[in-house]
Amino acid sequence: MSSQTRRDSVLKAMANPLVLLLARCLLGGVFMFAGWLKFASPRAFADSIGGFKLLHDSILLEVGLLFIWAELICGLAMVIGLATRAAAGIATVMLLSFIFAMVSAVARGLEIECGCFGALLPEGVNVWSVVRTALLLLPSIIVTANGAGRVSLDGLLGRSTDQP
Amino acid sequence: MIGISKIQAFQLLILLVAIVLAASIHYQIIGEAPEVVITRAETDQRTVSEQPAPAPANLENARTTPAVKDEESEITPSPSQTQEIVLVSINHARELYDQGEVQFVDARSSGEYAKGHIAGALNLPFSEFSRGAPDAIDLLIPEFPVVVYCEGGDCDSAKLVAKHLSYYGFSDLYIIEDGYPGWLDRNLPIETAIPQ
Repeated sequence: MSSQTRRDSVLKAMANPLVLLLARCLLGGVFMFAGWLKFASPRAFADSIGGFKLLHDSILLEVGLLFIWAELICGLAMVIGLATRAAAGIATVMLLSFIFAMVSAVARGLEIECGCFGALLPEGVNVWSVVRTALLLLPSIIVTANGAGRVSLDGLLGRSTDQP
Repeated sequence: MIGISKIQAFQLLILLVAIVLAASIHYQIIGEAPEVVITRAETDQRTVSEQPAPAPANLENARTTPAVKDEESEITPSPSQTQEIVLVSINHARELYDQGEVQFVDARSSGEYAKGHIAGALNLPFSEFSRGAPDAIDLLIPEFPVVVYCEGGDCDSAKLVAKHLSYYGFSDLYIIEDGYPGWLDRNLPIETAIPQ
């Protein structure tokens, strides 16, 4: 099998409706769950962000609330499959920003709380948390590239592939 | 493969507006947190409450170092919205400990707490606040002073826990600057038993 053929088959598999359904439900579910956990105590999440020492203290709560609502809204959009590519695009940007923040914390030797899943998973920022976040990039890129698939509100509205 | 049509750009815009709107409304509802200022104890400084911290007999830092305040303290909007948390030395913490009616809170992880902690201290890691008020808060009396500690040095946990305790009505808050290692170095009372 040539590399061209192999690439085509991988791209075809990624555009499979079942793969898209699984990818967006996984990513959307994780985002909604993480957002909901942080929603319970936004100030605690804001302080977790402060631990990364990348933002000024005066805007931590505002930024924290933006992240929380972005996780909730984009998570819901991906699960029901409405405005899916836009939601997955925002999710991808958020994941990249999380990865950047975590890598910079690890590089600076900061021993801080990740804050990723609140009290459910109290853990420090480490290589594992970076890898776990990076793994979520795979479904987010797949959904950003291919849209929601047929089993979605976008699909019902006739925009299943969302091609430009 | 990844391109953006007009409708997708419109959807992106709608999502971003929804996120900003929801976050703004949420911010209006919960309001700004009361400003928290961390100061270093001074013998002549009245700090967190009507009941001032006892004047320490041997506070090298307190005598020689001027009060260290965050930049925000210069633009404090009103005294009623400002909560001060006092950084204290081991000696000062020991004096508070000897007073009796002072509550000690260990902000380190439960694993570190189990290895050893200040005798009588309650374990309350910062992560416990991620789901709102932790149950352990019910074991503390807001009217009594609370001394929080972690590993000392660059450790932020004690500051974060003290800050969050202030959100829940605790007003007489102290942080041990050198943390548990400093306490341990002075051979002060510790225990490894975990209170039930």
